[in-house]
Amino acid sequence: MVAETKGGNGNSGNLGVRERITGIYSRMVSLARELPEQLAAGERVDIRNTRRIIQCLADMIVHGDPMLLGMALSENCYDYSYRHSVNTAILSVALGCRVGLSKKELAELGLVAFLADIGKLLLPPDVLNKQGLYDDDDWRIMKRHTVQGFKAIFGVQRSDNHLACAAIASFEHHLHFDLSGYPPVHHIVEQDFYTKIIVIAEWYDALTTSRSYTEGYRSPDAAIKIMLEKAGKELDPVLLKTFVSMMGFYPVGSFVMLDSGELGIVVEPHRVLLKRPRVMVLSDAQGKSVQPFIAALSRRDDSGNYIRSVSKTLDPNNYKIDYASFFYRRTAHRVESV
Amino acid sequence: MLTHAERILSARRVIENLLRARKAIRIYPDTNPVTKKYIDDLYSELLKLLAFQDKIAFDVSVDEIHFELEEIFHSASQENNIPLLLFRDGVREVIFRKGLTRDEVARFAAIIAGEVEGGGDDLVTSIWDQDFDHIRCIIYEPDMFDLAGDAGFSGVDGAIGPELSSELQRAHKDAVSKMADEQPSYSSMEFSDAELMTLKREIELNKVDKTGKLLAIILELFLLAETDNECNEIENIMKKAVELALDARKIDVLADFFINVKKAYMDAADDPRFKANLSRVFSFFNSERFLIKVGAMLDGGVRLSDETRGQLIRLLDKGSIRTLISILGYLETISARKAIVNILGEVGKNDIDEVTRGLADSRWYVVRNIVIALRKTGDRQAKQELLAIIGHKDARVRREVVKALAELGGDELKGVLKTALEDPDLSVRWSALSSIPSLGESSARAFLKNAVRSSRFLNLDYEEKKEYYNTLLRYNSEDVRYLLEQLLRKRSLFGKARNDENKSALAYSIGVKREKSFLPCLLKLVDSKNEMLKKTVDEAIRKIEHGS
Repeated sequence: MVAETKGGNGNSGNLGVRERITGIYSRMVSLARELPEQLAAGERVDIRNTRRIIQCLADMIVHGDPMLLGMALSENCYDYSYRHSVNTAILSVALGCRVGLSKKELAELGLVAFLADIGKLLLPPDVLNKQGLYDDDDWRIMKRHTVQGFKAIFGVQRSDNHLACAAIASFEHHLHFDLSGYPPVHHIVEQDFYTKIIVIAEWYDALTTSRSYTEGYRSPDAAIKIMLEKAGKELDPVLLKTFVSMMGFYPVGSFVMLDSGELGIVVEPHRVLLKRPRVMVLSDAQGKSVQPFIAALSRRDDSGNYIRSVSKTLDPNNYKIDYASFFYRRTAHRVESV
Repeated sequence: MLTHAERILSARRVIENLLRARKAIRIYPDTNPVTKKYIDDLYSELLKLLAFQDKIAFDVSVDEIHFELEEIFHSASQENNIPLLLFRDGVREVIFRKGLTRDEVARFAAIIAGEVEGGGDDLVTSIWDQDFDHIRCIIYEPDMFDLAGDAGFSGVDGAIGPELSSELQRAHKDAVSKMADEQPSYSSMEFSDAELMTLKREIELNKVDKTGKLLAIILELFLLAETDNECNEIENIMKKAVELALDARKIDVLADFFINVKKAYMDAADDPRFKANLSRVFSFFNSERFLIKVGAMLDGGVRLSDETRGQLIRLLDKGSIRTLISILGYLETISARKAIVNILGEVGKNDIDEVTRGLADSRWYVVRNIVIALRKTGDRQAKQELLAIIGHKDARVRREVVKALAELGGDELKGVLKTALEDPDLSVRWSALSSIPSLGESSARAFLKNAVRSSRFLNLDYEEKKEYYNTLLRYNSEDVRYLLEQLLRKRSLFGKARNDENKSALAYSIGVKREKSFLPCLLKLVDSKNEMLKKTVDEAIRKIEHGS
């Protein structure tokens, strides 16, 4: 396969956009699987491929392609442990882009975010894949993964500044903004900037995914609400605000009922009006399916009132609705005429 | 419009010029006219091709480059194999677009020459980092997209099927019965000026080196370590991090780190395991491996701030003395040697015997620097060892020994200075002369008065006499003035020339010191027939009266 670089590896040569995006995502998932195996086996780790693929990711996000972000927000069949690293990288780069980091910094941030949770993948499988809630011993082992991650990344041969940044994030990514959390620290006075970004991305991905040892899935809007409650304590308040303004109150993938009674899936946040995303409407006011179309909730009628607003949110996992597929195919659907 | 043959010829020239530019960039700075010319030639050839096309593409294979399906470059040699350089990093096509700038061409050539900072050995990353507007590369990675496709994702096209319709009905029913959500309390995220400033500051801070943070984490790791094996592991990590810091010339960051380790060590009074862990850090800090790297860094031009030097001194123990001495043997720059001597002067106070052992070194420059360090220690225990090398074969060592003994003081000093003032080497005598005040005012005065009255004095070099008088004039006492006035008035039937030269040297020193009390004596010498004396006296009077 071929990737074209605009001075890099960003836009495709021969591949279609969707294939390219799924290709990048899939490759990242497989790298997330391979890297810990290589580290655990003490093999020499070549991160050149990882670097390249993250350059592609940074290119796409810089060019404003929302599909990759949508992919990170979608449920898919990959194992959460691996998907989490990929999603964290994508969300982190998107947030980094939003705060104005350079493309070079975004590539570094992407790599750092991708590797930040690698320590978890080095945990004993019986702990990592345990069904049911963790006991104290499990948690003790689990909490060691930040140290494991640091040691594994920094132990890579020919480690450079990028890997040093990744090792830092690996150690700090369960520390909170107020330096509570784990591991306990005595000599660190502030979280690293990249870590602050990554922690927000990780939180969001973790909250919106169900896992064995947590309370389970929360809808994107519920996740945002929870995160806002943590601002200034566990999460950096300014970066969190930036994240929320990037995602909107109803992030991509939210399953919503509009005040018109229609059901739909959020496919794109509004850049300013956080409660007024673009929604792919799937049913009419009686719940009867319709030919999907995209409605911009920022639209007003002649009297200046909004035509549609979000009224309620639903958990898409309770229904057999693959909202990711709507997201990918949204360009194929008609857009409500303005 | 160029013909196909002309385009092929031009494309060949592009590669030839790229090769020349690459070579020039590796040899000369980019401001060099040769480098500039080759970049200009490369750029103008590319512009020629782009004059009638929006883009031009060069296809890359292992050792060939093709343009418009024709081979325009082939190289089997390693040296000029640009195709292989591109190919092995995955580049399969290089595309130049209309709008190309000379700056882009220069940066591209620098990447090909491997002269881009931070590029490492990955050419594609270097190209990507440059973010060219008009240069693009097609990259092939064998397994980059090996899982491409829809493996993880299902999709639907067009209309909603019956199963989904029934799910939507169910969801609708649930939603209708559900209470309306609480609306978010605000509809937009507004940022205060302070928040935006914080963000800006953080982005700026993020650009600076993170070695300090890395080392802080390593200290945390020592605190968290559960077993000896883990401690060993962390110790190795620490060494690697310290080396990264040294490579980045972050001696100040390292000093902070070790100071924090020391504090943590002091705080851990009741935790022997933790203390043992941290003691590994200190032994590394005092190790030859670490100190040699510090020496190399100082040789590389890094300057120690007073604070950092102070921190290093606080951290080094007597175990480092031998290494510091050995480093003195191969440091290449004066500033590096000075820095280490200053440190040795402080750390050496912990074990003078260990420092003096270095005086047996066969290299004069090592011995000289150890003598300086011993002087800086101010420890009189070193005197015997210094006296033992007062007759060192190298005058540069003898000179420093005199200075050191003078500063350390003691009864032996008078004898040392007397001997040193008769040393065959001028610099040693000079050193002794300037050390005379160390004898204390009255002894120094008496010593100097005797010296200038001695018959030997008249045979000294003119410059040396001046130095004696300069030293003596420091003591503005009655007896000194009396003696010097006598010397200015002294008449001599035999050896008149030598006597006048002596007066001239004294007049010169009086002028330098602007001693007004000697003016009457000097005025009596203005008509001297000795040209040299007359001139010096005139100058001295002018200095005293007019300050110039």
